[in-house]
Amino acid sequence: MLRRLGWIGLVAGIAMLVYWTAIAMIPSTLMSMAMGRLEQNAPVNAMGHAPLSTAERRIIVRPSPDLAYSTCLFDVTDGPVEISVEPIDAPYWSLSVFDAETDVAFIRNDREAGGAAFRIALVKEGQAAPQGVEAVRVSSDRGLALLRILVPERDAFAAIDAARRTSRCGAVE
Amino acid sequence: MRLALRILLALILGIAIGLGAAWLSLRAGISAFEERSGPWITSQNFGSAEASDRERAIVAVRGLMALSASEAIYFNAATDSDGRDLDGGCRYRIAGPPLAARWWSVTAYGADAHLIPNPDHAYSAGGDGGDAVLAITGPEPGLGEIATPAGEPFELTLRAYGPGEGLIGSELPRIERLSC
Repeated sequence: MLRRLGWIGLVAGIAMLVYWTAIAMIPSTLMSMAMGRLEQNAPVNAMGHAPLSTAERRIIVRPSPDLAYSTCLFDVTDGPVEISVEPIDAPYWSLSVFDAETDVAFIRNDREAGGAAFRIALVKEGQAAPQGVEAVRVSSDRGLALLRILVPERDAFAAIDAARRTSRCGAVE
Repeated sequence: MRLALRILLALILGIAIGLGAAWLSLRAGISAFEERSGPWITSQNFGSAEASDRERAIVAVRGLMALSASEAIYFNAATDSDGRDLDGGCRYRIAGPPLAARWWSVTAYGADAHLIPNPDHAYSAGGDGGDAVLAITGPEPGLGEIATPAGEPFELTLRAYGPGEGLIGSELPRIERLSC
């Protein structure tokens, strides 16, 4: 009887270990896959500008068809990465930064920015932001910065698309 | 030899049960989250370091790179207000008072969590936070309506950008089946 309970305990222990490992690995695995697909959009440490989401374009699940997405796949392994955002004439825009575990490291929207341009430098421990640039500490070397811009109607996209291309992302020299 | 075989069997069984439990846990998906209002379900832990491993995994599967609750709140519905599964072959009206938010939008997604193919790109409806929520879905959408897949289930996501403090717990739009 005790022997049988021992085997049941072993199976239960293995099952729990596998369950928690799988659950813990899913966010970083899916993030890594999404970043791989987004690399079609732009290289690492550069801003890429995606067209409006459609049913045919399947980069990430549940995209908002009302938003224009610009992305910067960042890698701070060799040094900080600077992102500059220029104001955009749209009802809403925001810059958000996600680490490799999908946690949000930074968000600023148009109202918080006061409708003005701003610059941030993504840094990891031991790195310093350039003087005068706001430092945003990230907990992983790689991650994703995402500029979301509300496109109230599809006809407004062309002007918004032109405006968002003034925003920049790049390694600090 | 017999012991080694038993250990191998325990290992295989444990892995199978563990992976099966993880699959079931994620399959329950967003409906396992606790904050509900009528057919709408949400979590305020999206994108947050406070999110549990399970919440983070579900969000990664269902809506990677969701904003945190201070910036946007995502409500999801797989049923109408009478508790019936959403059916792409039926017409629905999503209607309610203005939301405590800067902007709202209602989007339909297929069972694969992607936008539903249609020639007019009729994926969503939206408005200023001060506007009453109104959206119509159906398999043959009229102008300004949202397309849904005939004969297939679908889900709705209500996004509220710039949510006010009173949004959670406030009256959310009803999802009313008009016809099938």
